[in-house]
Amino acid sequence: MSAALIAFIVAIGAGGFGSLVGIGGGLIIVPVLSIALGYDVKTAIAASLIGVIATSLSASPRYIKSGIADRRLGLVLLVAAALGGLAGGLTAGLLDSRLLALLFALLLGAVAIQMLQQIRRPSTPPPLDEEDAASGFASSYVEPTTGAEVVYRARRIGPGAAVSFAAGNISGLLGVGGGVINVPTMNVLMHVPIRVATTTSTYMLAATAAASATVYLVSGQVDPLLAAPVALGVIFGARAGARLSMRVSQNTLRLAFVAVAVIFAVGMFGKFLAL
Amino acid sequence: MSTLPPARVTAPRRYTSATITIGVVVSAACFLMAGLAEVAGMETGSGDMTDLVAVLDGLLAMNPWAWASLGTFAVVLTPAIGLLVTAYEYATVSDRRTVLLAIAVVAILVLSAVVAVLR
Repeated sequence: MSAALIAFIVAIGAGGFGSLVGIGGGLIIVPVLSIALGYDVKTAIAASLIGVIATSLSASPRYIKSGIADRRLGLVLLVAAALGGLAGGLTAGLLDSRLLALLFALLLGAVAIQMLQQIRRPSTPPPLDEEDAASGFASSYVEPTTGAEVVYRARRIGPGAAVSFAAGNISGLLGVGGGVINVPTMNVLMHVPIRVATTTSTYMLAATAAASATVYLVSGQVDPLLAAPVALGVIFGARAGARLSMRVSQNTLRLAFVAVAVIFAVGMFGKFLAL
Repeated sequence: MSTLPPARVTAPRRYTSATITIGVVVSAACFLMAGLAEVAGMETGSGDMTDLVAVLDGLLAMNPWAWASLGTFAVVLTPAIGLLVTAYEYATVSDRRTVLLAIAVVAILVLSAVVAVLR
């Protein structure tokens, strides 16, 4: 079987899972391309970034049309993350990446525990008052599995934006994408329903990955003949993932994200030990 | 749970959805063309993706590399175009704050890419 065909098949799975839980799918694509297929790591990352954008683009129309993705909230966090990324180049030399990897591993472990507790003891969001409604961050969506309207307000906008800024700042150092930070920031910190968090994160990923992909593209590290099967695979996979996302319960989404958080936490702890 | 409606008017969503869908369809079509050209045994082609003349020549020669490059460009450019369309959608409901946010995201992303390229 050719490398392009293997990349295409793997990308279908990565796009499906990535669009379901609000991560880009680089977690799956990069190791397969670099370890299993023997591509240079930078070439694999560049192809993966094209795949992440394609995942987001493929799933987002469904999430936007259904009104579940909260674009206003996503844009606030995008501004913060993009500014953090811009500042990242200035602060990169000041941060200890080993310590950051450990802190990130511990943080993701705590996120996983918090989300598991939400599954065991689901909490009812506090009712909204007039002040909430006027805040600009109150919104609603129709829960596809029940047909019920869910009204919520994104809280702690300032701290949420600060986390996004920090995430944008350190993501280059730690080699992590936005989704694994976006989803718990919105769900755990800002009290946004998990379905809104995963779909909004998917919507946000295209913009953040496009900035990084442009750098790889201009520096000649994008191999279009590898990016093509990856992107085509995730386009098919992400469309299926977006459709499936509307059928699974919020607890299933939460459980899937806990699995992602644990994998990232173990990876970051491994990085802490290796550095 | 309260059923209090959001205070703001909801911006239209169909233009952003349509723009993104068009971007996905165009890029997928280019990638499929690359695959078909490869299967048909056309010369693969190679070069610098930023050399637009080389990409154009390759497209005319049906090189898989050139078609894959065009698809990649479509993927990378679509998010920025989608954000500008989002800004327009929010402008239609006079939500100036969100319009500024969408434009700010595009501006920061362009700036960060320029800074990274110049470095």
